[in-house]
Amino acid sequence: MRSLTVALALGLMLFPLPQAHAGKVASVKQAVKEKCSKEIPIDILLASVVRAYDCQPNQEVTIASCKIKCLKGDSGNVVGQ
Amino acid sequence: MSSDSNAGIFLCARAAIFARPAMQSVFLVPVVLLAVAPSANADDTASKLDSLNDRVTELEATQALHTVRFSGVFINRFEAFTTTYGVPGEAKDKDRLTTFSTYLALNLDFDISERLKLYTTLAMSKFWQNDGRNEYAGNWQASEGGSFGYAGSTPRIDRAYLAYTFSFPLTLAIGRMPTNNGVPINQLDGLVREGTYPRFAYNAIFDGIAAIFDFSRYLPRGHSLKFRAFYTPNINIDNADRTRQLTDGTVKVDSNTPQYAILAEYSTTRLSPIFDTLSFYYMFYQYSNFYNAGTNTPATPDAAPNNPTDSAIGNMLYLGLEGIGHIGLNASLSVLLYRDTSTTLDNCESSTTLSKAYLLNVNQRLDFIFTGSVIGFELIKTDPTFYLDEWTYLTVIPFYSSPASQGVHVFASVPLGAKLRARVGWYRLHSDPYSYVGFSSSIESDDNSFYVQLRLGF
Repeated sequence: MRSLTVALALGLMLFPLPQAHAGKVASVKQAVKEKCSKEIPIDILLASVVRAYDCQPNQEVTIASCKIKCLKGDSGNVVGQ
Repeated sequence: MSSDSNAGIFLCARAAIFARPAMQSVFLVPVVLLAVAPSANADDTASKLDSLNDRVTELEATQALHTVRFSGVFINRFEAFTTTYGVPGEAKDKDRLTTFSTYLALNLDFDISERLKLYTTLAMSKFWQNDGRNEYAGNWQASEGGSFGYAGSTPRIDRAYLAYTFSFPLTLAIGRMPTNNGVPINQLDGLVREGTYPRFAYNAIFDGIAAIFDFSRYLPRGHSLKFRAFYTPNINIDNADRTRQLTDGTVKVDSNTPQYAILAEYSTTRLSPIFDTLSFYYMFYQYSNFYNAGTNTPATPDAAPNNPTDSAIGNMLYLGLEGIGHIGLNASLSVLLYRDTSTTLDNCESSTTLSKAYLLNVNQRLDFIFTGSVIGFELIKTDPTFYLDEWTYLTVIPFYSSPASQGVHVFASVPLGAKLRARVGWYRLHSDPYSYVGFSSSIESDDNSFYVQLRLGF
């Protein structure tokens, strides 16, 4: 069982599971970095993903004392956006 | 590993399970890494990890299959509209309308694959306790107006298009596209752009094919350049028999009359000492031999045709400045230059008109008083020959589409929570008589409209 666990751990490190919101965490991190030139801890980042996306487009959202624009998309309102 | 450590792993694992999906995989790796450390009860930990792995895999599989995104807009309006109208120099008539209305649009977007997406919108608009209206004279107007004609609670499909994005900067789209509600409509509520064509080029829904070239990735950071090309032909066909051409008197109307549009968009955020964003759009559109159904009733067989055809060229310019002086001040100017040649179907009469029209929008975000609130005004001036395909609007007053007009609109918009927004505004419009082939009016009018609107975006 131990070897199985080790194999699972190595497997996860080498071939990480596809993340359900792949790209969203990075987007929040990038938005904060661009707006306020700061790196935010991973725990705050993870807790902020929903807030950064579950909002009205163009609304300001505060993430770790940094105000960024809501990252929610426009639902195809502009063709080819 | 101590029992405290095991408890920590278990709590962490539970957090991963019950957290939002975004966190699950991120949590899983450290959980597993902690788990591989020497442990007195390794079998117990491994069992929990197996269970955890199964549950996370299940959640991720569900998430991977969850390719539908749901959103929508729900608007309720009150509008008190008065119009005084009549032939100049004669006694005037006056109409007063006090209306309540509801508009609902439900968006269902499907991520077929990473590059292929299907966008749909099902919508309706209605006045309260009023159903079954039809304000469209022709089939093409009904198509361009979609659900916005206050026809009642029967929903219509206002959006149904497929978009494929290539790895190089090209997106192809086909279907019924959101060419309505363009800039600067969104600024009335402090929102991001909500439609493709600028409103002063077209505020109507078109079916067709589009190619979008996005060259932004080749430009320095902060600059954006896009070209959107549209082919939106008008299909004419007999109303009752799909194997027959549409006929107006002695003339058989072409089944397919072409219509094109090219929209070039440039924007930059690299003028930081002056503005947040500068946007410049240029749109060219053209249609040929467009059969203007609905202008008159088609003539009976063997009689002279009743309806004209139009061939037009439009040049539309939009200059938008956002965040002027970094105090939340926005301003935009829309200019439409339009040339139309209207011809009777039997080519007996032809007339060419040139027109120009201007729409100025100035608004100020008042984030320093109440976050998200906006106040502003619009000014409009149109030539007697002005024409705008404006079919997807919810106001009673025809503020943006009246020829020979000057008008003002003042408005204030405040958010009520995160997704609800109220707007109050007042329109005033004066229109003079006008006359050109196809459309004419000997009436002058003075319109006033006060409205309150509650908008939910979700």
